[in-house]
Amino acid sequence: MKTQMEQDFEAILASMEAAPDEELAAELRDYRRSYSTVAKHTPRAGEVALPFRVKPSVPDVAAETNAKKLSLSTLVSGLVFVAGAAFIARHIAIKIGEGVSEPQEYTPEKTLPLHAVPDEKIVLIDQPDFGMVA
Amino acid sequence: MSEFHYKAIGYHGCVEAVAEKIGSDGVDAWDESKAGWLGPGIYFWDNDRGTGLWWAKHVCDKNEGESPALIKALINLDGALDLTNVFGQNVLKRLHNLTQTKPNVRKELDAVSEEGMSPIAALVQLAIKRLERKSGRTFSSIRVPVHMDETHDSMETLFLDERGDESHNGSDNSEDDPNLGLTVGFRMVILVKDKKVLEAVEVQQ
Repeated sequence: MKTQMEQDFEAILASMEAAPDEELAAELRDYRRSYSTVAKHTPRAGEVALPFRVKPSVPDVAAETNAKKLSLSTLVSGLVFVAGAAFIARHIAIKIGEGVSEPQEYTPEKTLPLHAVPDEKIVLIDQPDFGMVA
Repeated sequence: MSEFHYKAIGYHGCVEAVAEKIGSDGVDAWDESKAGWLGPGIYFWDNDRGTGLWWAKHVCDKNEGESPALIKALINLDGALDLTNVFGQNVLKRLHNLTQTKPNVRKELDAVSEEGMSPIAALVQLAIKRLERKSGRTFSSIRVPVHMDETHDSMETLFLDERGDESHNGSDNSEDDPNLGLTVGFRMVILVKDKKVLEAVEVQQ
């Protein structure tokens, strides 16, 4: 007669055997990623909380529609603002004797944010080639 | 009542600094291995001092300047998942079969293997996670037999060559006897997931 634990475990095994291949693979992928995050000191792409927002895969139709509806007053005020800003920037540049300033290109930081790496010392060692015996 | 009652003596090989810390500050100061082959936890060789020492030296080989040390522990295995009995062995076989029938699972397990973790152990952990979700059951430790290529050429069961010779055990009804053989080439590992099961700890000299 099987114990309750054995019955429960066998039910889980049966559910894993019946589960679609991709479902089980996805669970393994999640497990591997969580394991990598705690086990490895070196972060890898996709497993670090990068300070960039991910573009949603489904576009927000309402937001796009609203964005296209520019009123005349918004357009005029926007143009006035841009022209004003350009004038002031040019004026400041001339004042400090550098002439017209060159456009600056944005250079992303090459180093990963340190706060994304777990702050603990982990000594990694090569694992011998184990196999479980059944 | 718990379904599994067993206390084991386990040996944990490590560097001297770790052993000294645990000897002075106790079990609570023991940092779990996060890079373990069977998942996070504290690893012991079940009743195997020699392998514990071998492992300690193995660790020191990878960490220059460190000295090997050994910690002996009395482990309460109530609430353990025991994969050494027939039930456990069948569990391992069924999990292994998944790798043969599901190609995407196999692909993910190859990636798991590259991370330094046993693929079958990953499936064991997956099963445990599912069990926890379904019934809330947790295991404080896992006990499992392992084979190591580094220390064994192969795992084998020893039979007399003259197995057909009825005189091997003096029995006249050998056909009815179970075909028992002694097995060599494996060791037992205990992964402690909950430090509460460590009833006593001693740093070995």
